[in-house]
Amino acid sequence: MSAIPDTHSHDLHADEHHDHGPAKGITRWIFTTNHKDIGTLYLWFSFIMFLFAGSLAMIIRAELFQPGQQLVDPNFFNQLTTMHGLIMVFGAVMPAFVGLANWLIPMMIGAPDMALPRMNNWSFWILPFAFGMLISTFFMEGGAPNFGWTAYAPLSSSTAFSPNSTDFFIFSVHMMGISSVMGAINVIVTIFNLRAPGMTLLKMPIFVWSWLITAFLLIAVMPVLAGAVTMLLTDRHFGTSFFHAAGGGDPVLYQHIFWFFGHPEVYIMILPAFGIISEIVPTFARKPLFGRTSMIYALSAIAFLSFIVWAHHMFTTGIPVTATLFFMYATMLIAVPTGVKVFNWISTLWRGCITFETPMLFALAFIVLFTIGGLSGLMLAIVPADFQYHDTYFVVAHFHYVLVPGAIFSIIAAAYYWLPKWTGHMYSETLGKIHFWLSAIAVNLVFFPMHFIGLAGMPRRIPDYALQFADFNKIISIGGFLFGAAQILFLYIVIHTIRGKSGKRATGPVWECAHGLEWTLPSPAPYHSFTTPPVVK
Amino acid sequence: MVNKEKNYTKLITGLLVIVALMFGFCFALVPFYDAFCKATGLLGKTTDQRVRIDSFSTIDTSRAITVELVANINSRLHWTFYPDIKRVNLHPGQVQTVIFKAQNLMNRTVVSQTIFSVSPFQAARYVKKAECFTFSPQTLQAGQRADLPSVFFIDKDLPAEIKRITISYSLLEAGSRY
Repeated sequence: MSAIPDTHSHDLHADEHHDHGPAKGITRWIFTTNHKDIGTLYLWFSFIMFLFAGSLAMIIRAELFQPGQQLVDPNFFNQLTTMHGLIMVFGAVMPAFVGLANWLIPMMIGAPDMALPRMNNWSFWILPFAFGMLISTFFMEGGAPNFGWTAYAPLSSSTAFSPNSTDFFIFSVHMMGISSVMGAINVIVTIFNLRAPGMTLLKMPIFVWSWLITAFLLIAVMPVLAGAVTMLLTDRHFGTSFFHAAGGGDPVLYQHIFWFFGHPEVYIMILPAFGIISEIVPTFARKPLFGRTSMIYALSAIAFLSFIVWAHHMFTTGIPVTATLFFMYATMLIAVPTGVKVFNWISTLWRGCITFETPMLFALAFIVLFTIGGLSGLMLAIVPADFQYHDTYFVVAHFHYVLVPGAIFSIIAAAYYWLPKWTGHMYSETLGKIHFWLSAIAVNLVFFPMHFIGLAGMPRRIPDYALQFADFNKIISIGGFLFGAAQILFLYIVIHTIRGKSGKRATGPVWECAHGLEWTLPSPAPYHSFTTPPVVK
Repeated sequence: MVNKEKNYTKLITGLLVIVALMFGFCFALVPFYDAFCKATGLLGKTTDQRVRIDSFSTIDTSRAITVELVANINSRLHWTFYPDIKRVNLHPGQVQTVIFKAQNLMNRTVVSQTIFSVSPFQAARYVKKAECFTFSPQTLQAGQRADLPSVFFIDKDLPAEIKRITISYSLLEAGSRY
């Protein structure tokens, strides 16, 4: 089913347009409307944010290396967990996927660029300001926000409980929301209008499909988050009582609104990952993706279900039994389309002619480890069990399994997979494999023992713990430092590849069995590609 | 390309309308949630409507409900606040008056608001208030005392499995930020 491009003329065509190269100097990046430049900006931005938020996690793990108060005071610890979560979600994972969308969607559907290139520039350049503002709160009087990335009321809605910098947090969330919504609109308009002749919706690569659905999720829920933080702002300063019991409001309402955004947000961070894995696995298994159409239906089903499961984050808030039952069953239902996807990937591997290049290694680790995170999610969906697991390290283990060896591994896999196409150079396979094995071992060292200490009752977001958790915490911290170091190696590998130091030049198709329009372009992909649309048979 | 531009405008407008609607939806959730909670008694919320006591209304003497009254004061408010009865056995339909003794021990005037909630929440719909000081904010000068009445009855339709009801009165400073 994969799109077979008509390749006879675009190499030639790209050569004709060499005079339209990028502008020189810094203005190239500031004023750029080129989807490849903007994709690069997004990816570098997210990498920097990933390393920054990761270094916050390193301080958290250093503090938790042994029981007792070691390095930071409890209030600063709370700031660290809050900012780590916020920056990883909004600054690392989401911009990385938008960067991949920018680089890949036009090349995959045979479009010359994104449909709205100037808005594209703007949606990127909002981000450094949003995160500059958010990170600057660390240096403000009273410190950074300290109520957790979920910003639950009344901790965040009362000026008595939260630092004044909360207002900066609120405005930076508004800015991130505007950026995401513009990015999502751009993706939808591009996909609906700029597909090459013959590229029907069902022929689109799965990555493009996953992004189309993600974009709809974004425009549906980012405004809800914007509304929620707006209510926080007016509760803080303009005398409203959305979340204040004394004024007739209800703090639990905040949780409903937040998770109405927050659960689809979870899928915003994983659907593009599903798309990436669905591109990589067929290439290295040398077989077409098994159950391609069912993959698209599964993506849509997950996206729909994500809107009706939010209260599974709130089982312990005292919602009625019938409601908890509904949310429990609806949550468990998500395992069905997710299972379809996992089984389809395994069926794609079945009797495939598999080779284990670095992107494939990360993709395989994704399938195994993401599934572990999915299964602990099923455990958390069980209402009576959740009463024990709630707010323990079991939850931390669960969402890190789906986000780190899930979303982050897929982004790393995507970087290795498409880096030769972007830069024209192969990465060092040896270094890539070292990076993979370090990351894969470290990630399990960090997050697997968290299941045990969570079940034993260690609460999350606390800077100290009971003595019986000491050994596991030490292991977790060592794993954490190892994982952090491995990502510095990744940074080195990326720079090494961009500079072409690894020696090998990438060919046009790069991989033996990669299908899709982007592989019909020369490597590195020319600054302007598909100015005349290719014809897809 | 020209007709494509037209397509863009239509599609972008449509998408922006979704964005605006979802932003509005977020705010629409506030009254919706409030109405939903009051209709179902979820979170122990009751309607703030005065219920007229029908003097001829019958009392279901076949069963008695234990009603416990709990008074809470927000920690920042230096008041005394307690009911004259802590526990009472009531027949459904029987009207009960409880007086809350309140005194403002602070050296300033305080406008208070009391939040009324019922546990278990399934019983919330059946607790009917004829008169209650929680209907409106109460202002007490520095040092002032007041007897605040709460008149209620339990509806006869209360499900038989509910034998005990706790009514909580939480006193907060009106418009306070905790």
